Amino acid sequence: MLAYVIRRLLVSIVVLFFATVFVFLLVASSGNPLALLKANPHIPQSTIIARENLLHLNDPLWQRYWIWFSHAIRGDLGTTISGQNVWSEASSHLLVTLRMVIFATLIAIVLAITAGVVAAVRQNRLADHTITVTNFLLLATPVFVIGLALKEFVAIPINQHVGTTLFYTDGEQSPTLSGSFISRLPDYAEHTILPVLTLILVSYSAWAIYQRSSMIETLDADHVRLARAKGLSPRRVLIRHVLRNALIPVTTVVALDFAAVLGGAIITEIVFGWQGLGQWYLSGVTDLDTNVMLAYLLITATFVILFNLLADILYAFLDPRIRYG
Amino acid sequence: MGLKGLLKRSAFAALAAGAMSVSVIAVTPGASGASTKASSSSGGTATMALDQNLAGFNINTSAASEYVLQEIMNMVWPQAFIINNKLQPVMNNQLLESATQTSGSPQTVVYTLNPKAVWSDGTPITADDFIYNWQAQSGNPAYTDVGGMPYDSASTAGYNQIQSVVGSNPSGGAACAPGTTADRNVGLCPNGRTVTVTFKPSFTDWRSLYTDIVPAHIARTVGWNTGFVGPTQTISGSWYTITSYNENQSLVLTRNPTYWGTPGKLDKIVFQFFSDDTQLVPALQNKEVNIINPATVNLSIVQTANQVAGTTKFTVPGLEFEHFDFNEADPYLARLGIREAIAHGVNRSALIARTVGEISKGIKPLGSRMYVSTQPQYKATTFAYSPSTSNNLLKEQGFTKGSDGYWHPNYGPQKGQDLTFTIQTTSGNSVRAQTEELFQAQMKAIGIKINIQNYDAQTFFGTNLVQGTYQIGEFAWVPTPFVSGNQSIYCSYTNTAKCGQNWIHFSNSEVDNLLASGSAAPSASQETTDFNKADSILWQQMATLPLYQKPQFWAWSNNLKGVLPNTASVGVTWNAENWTLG
Amino acid sequence: MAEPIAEENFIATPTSIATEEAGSHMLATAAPGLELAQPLDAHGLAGEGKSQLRIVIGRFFDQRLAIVGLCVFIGLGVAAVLVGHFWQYSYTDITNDLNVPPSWGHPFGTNAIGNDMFAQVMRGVEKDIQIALTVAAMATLIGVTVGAIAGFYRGWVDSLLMRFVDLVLVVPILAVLIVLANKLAKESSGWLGLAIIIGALSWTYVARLVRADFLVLRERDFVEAAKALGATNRRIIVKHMLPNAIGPIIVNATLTVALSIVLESTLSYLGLGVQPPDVSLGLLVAQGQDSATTEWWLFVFPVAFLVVLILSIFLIGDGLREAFDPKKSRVRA
Repeated sequence: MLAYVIRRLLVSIVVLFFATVFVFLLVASSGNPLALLKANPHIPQSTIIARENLLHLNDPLWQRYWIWFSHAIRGDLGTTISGQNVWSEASSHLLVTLRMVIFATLIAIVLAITAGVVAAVRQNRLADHTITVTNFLLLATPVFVIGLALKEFVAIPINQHVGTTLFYTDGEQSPTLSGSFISRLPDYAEHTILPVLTLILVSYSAWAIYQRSSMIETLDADHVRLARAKGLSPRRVLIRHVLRNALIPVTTVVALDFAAVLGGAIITEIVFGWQGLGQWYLSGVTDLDTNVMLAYLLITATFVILFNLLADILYAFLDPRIRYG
Repeated sequence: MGLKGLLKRSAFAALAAGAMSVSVIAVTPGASGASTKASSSSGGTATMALDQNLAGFNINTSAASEYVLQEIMNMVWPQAFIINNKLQPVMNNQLLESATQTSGSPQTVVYTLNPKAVWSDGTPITADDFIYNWQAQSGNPAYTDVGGMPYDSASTAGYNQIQSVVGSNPSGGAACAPGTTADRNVGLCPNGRTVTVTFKPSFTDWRSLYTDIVPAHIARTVGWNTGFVGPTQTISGSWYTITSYNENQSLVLTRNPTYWGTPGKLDKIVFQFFSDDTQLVPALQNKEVNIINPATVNLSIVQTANQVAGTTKFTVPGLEFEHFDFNEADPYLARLGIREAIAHGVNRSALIARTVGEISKGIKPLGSRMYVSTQPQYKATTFAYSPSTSNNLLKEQGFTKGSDGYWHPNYGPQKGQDLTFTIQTTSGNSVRAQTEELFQAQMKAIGIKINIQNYDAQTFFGTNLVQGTYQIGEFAWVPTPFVSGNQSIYCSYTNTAKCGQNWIHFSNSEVDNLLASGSAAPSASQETTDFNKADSILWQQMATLPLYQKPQFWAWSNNLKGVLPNTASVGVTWNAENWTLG
Repeated sequence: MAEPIAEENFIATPTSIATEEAGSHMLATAAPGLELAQPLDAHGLAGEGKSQLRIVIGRFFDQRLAIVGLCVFIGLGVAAVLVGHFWQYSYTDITNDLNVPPSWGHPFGTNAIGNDMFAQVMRGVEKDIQIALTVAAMATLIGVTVGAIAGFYRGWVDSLLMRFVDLVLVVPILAVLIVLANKLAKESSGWLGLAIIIGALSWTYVARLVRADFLVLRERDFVEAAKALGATNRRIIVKHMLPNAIGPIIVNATLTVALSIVLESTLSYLGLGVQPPDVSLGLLVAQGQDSATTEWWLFVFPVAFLVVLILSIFLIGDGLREAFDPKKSRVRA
């Protein structure tokens, strides 16, 4: 088991390395981030050349990659085009994104499991139909549509009706926020509700559909029928025999789906103006800033790899069939 | 979408610095002119929304030069002259006792600093700051930043025409400091309160110099290029100091206790950063901010803002103007007749009506490339929309009309085929795309086929325009009120040193002479005359087609008083020391 | 022999594969993976399975929602084409009615420069379907090829290909698309380029699916028989194994169509997808988002059609999944 995990980890690192090469080549050949400066005759040539040299823009591609790589291994992720430290920028943005993502994922998991179980247990009845239709509808709505709809048709009308700003649509917190952490919590909460809700709605629907079908499969399994035939109460059957097996796939799906959650976070950050990792990445792409993009890549890929590993471990742990496999 | 807004503002910052000399950021002198200690300050905190993140605080570098940064630095660093909301430079009479041009040739300007002027760390503001700021922005490779790095300056315009900067008259009758070699001010009397600037030989727009004066003693330690990263280095020499900076979130200005003049009325001015222009109006509505000035001004934002109760909305045609460039390297656009035919076929009023006209009723087709309608020096040339004239002009070329209604040229690579041009602009901009669509329809009506091909800003500005791989280009110039910066756009393309922004492959010796004499003119009125004459020649030659001024838009809550919108790149905080909360 | 399957299929490829896309999630299929623990009854196919087709079609049309989805989708497609040819305005036409609310002449109103929104929305539908079908075709083709080769040949070929799949999936698809699309956005007429890059990133789920199926199918008797009879590998793959795996492939292809619409509309919303003056539904939403409260028709119609389009495809996909592998209706607990 341990050997398996270590092997997977090593392979993942190799994959990660190739991913960085790929992304680097893509971005570095996309164009010159200082191109706009060249259009300006009042900026002395010496300045432009100096800045280009600082960013190693005139070096051959492999050399530029090597510079980045050799620094990155030692923990130095370089500077942005304007000279700011990439690591400090990235980590502060990451915290902002994590705030959104962690809340959303946890709540979405709980909701999804509940909805999936209810829909499966009440299959083909009204509850099931309502839940399933809602799920499909949410699934079919892209993230940005959900976010925009919440912003335009929920937040602003409610705020106007109530007369005060309950749902903030921009940013993670108010600018002049000060005071103890506890006193700042309500402000954080009011800013966090809508983005988190958006992410929840997006993630929950897929997992709920999945949980439902997984539950339905399990409810028909032999060992469940046996338990029922033995005369156990439906509730006991549900909790002890069905749920545990039905939870197996959804946990792994959630873990594996983490990349999608991060993708959704990018859009949610754009819609609600959070200065998170995704929004930072997007600016980096449009600015053709390789260091920013590679930093984003490293961070998200690390999360994805870790979560994939987690899924593997969880799955092996929960599924007794494999433990001895 | 906000990304476009972001890109626009930074692209324009670069072009602004390029198009004109550094714009003069203005802080308004007190109305009475007398510098009295504050009587009653009204207190309170006003919050302004900014739609771009900062990349450093030295606004004079190309790396950090941004429109939104100017809104902040107006109140933090000293400004010699301030552009008021009538687009006129006014001397900052709290920093300077006088600033006069004393002799004609070579041109000499003498500034007299207020002896009480002092940086917030106690260091007096002296000639040393003027000397240093000149050296950093002169473009002279002999001057280098810390570590021997060349200075990164957003614009050398004007500073590269300075011969020398010398101090005199230290305050209190003290002796001149000798200066040090390291500081490069030996024998220049760096502690002088009088500054004498000598040009080589002249620069008419000298009032555009010495805005956002960088503290020399700090810059020599932390570095001009990358040293000003936060409040610690960005000390104040003006009404407010930066007391807190949460990167990409907020920045707080607090009244400067060491300010020697009339203090600012508000206790604090807070700037909150947003990533997207679509968030600005909701923020105003939610009372998260008091005043907004979105970079993208479209009908939706204006209409949504109009629905917010308790706010004042203000729209005015700005300095920025949209235009079409014709690349005269193209065998067809090289001919005046064809350029004129195209220009006569553009119904600028219709373009305006469907794009910016709904936002600002006062916008008319722009009649000049040198000045805008809101400036007193504006001299409009009328150029009629006349499809019949286009028709005749193309017929005169010897072209024949094909069966599909398009003209067929009788020479060149498109001989015998539909006369086709490709128009380019920055991608992702709805208003520009709409303008292109309207242009396409109007050209179809006079028999010219137009293809639309857009590129991202970096490619469009950095490659296509600069290398001339385009036929018709649409974009906007962001001028400052000082007209001399136009020279690099319209003087002969063969002069690569001086005319680096002539991407239209245009060359006319008469224009060259007028632009040169205007930039060196002994008086502002002579400069105006020369540049306006040059402009009328540009009309006759149809070098470019100015379309319209882009409207600027501000909205602020009614309890914020004293706001006077300013279309120069100083932005609306040019007089923020007079703002009060009622 | 069972171990590699246990590892790769149960852990790396769990019972169901959630297809990742622009922040939303999709299920490729719920069924096949689970069945791998048991005999392939779900496929239940032997040989060519022609009669199976009729059974599947029958099951599909038994579901009301699936029929609704199919009708809506076909209706939208036909309407888009018809409107493009016969409606009085084309999507590029500029009329004199500016910002007009819905009326008889302009059922969906007009925008700020006078484009008829009905023509624009329908053009957006057409463009989205066009891109989506291209993407699905490409992704399915690539995915089936990669998955079949990996599953059939196993060994180092399999490992290499699956590591390549990992490479594609290690970063959010949207993040990679943003980079690629930014490079592409330099060309404003490149919808094909856009379709290609989306397709180049969407094939991974089909690949994993087909591979999982092939790993098991490979051991089936009829494959042994074909080998004994001297059939080439290629023939075995194409003529014997693929038809047996066709169910999940078709379901996944359908879901890829929906997925690609979501991806493309997200990219267009960010300004990196379809460029003006051409239209797509995502772009229309981006252009109309500021007017949601003032000129509601610029926002509501594109949103509604986008959601309905995607939903209809989902319903078709779900119906197909049910048709190929019906869930046994369970006994009430």
